[in-house]
Amino acid sequence: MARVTVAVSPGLLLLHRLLRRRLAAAALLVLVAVLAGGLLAPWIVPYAPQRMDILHRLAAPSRLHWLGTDEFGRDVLTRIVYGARLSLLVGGLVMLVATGCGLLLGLLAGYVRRLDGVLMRVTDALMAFPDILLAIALMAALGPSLIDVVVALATVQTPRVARVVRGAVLVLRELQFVEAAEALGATDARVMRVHLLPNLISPLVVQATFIFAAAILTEAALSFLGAGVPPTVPSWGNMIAAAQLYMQQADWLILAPGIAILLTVLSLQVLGDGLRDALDPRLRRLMR
Amino acid sequence: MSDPAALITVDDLRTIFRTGEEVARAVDGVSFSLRAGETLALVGESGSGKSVTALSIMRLLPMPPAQIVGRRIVFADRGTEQDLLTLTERQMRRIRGRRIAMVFQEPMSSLNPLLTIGEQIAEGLRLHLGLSRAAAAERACELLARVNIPDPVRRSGEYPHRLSGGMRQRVMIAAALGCNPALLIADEPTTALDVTIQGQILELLRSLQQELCMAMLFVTHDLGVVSEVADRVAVMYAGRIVETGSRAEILSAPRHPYTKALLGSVPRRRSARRDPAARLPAIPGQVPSAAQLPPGCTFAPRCGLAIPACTAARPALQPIAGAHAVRCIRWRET
Repeated sequence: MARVTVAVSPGLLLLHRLLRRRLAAAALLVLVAVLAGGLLAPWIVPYAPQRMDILHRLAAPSRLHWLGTDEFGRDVLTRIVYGARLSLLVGGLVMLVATGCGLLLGLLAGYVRRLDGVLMRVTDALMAFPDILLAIALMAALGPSLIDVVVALATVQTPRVARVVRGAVLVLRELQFVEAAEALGATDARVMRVHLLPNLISPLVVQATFIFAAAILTEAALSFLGAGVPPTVPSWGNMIAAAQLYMQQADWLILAPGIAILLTVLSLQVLGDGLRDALDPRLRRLMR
Repeated sequence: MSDPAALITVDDLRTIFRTGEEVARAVDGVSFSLRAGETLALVGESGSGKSVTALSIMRLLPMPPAQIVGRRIVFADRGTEQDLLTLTERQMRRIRGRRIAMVFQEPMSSLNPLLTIGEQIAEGLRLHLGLSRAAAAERACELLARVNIPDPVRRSGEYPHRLSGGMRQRVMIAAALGCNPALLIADEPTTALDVTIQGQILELLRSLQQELCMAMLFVTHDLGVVSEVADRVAVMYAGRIVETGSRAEILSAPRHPYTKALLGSVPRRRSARRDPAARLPAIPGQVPSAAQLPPGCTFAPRCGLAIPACTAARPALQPIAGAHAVRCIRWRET
């Protein structure tokens, strides 16, 4: 009775498991749509994002302007799509930078005992500040460009990743295969790269989606408070901030970007939950 | 007690753990030596310091909290003598896995679940012998065949979850023996396995040991296993060796009250017992905490023969005959 080994790539298997959960599949669909919109913005939107039409300012949603126009007569749908571009760019970059730095710090703190105390106290100090406050303070010190926003938000999120990674490393390093690798004469760097890192991918992927969501939300909050990207850049937070004055006459101005933020962030959260369940079959079985 | 022919001489090893104010003396003056091709069984209950001794030799204990304070571990390999305690971490890494290899207790967690069997065996080979990926993979298959794993080529491409505990332990042995080490430290390699598999693994270790003329330090709490593998036995209690001698001396003519009690608490068949109705004897009390060792003989609080003199001073290891020695002032009366 020869057992047949079916070669399925782990990525494909994960996708399959993920898509079996309806909510996660829906979330993925929304995100793909947002991503496509963001990437293809210049080709799919009906107007230029800065084009003003004073005659049709604050126009209600119509066939010409599906989501209406703002106080300068700019097309809201166009600006929402361009805003998606910015949100995804910021979210994606923050996710990459924060998970990268967090992974490195977490690995070092968890595996190199000498560094643990120092690194964790620093992360504690950073996490002691409320997210927004820390981000605003950093923005004030850095400046208002896109890169500055990314740096500020990554600084806010990195300690979280570092904490999660360190926790996972603390568990892993007590497993015997780590000790066995050390007994084979492997260097610290090698143990971290070959034996710890691959076993950290699952928690890291899940954490990354949550950071993506948090970054989008915080970026919007920063823009709303005027501490984010310059107000001329179409961003969801900027749009909501500008819409405050006209909320009573033109509620679509606030609803459109608000719903865009809600859908994107919610989808990311749902996707993160779905990924967590798909990556850990045992947990899923327990929950049923 | 320096033996010129010894491969490794552990001389008055002391390993302590500092936790806050407390100092736990996990290993408190352990000395022994081991020749090539010889097997020394380090026996003792949990917490007696036998695993810490093994890990001290490998210098794999996390420092801090662990600290090795005494005295030297002379490793005489290929004509050069080195004190393992004074080597740099880098020099030590060259010895680990190449000249001194280790097999662990828990085969289920000793293998990285995300690497194939072949990759894990190849790791040491590539690290120490500088083999190419292909050469290491080929040698990994040879090693798998040598530890009697059927269909090694297919198995080397599989992940650990497809292997049973016994198979995994064979893989661990293959990985440990990859560089033909002079000394193999086996830390309870059969404890997690069921009895038939235990026998197979012991048999395998013994035959490989003969083939490679390798010294083996066998850490165990199972006296049945001791009777099968050991040439010599050292019985540990609370961080010290309380009795040492040949296998026959320890198992048939133990002199230390602790060794006697230990042998007395091995379950036997009803027909083999002196009093078939009696309950299995147990040693009263428990191993003292390494942070609060009693003065004098550490076994005195649990010993039926203890007299005031036992707690007055730390007893020395007294020779009985040949290599047989015992750390008890009343051994003549036992």
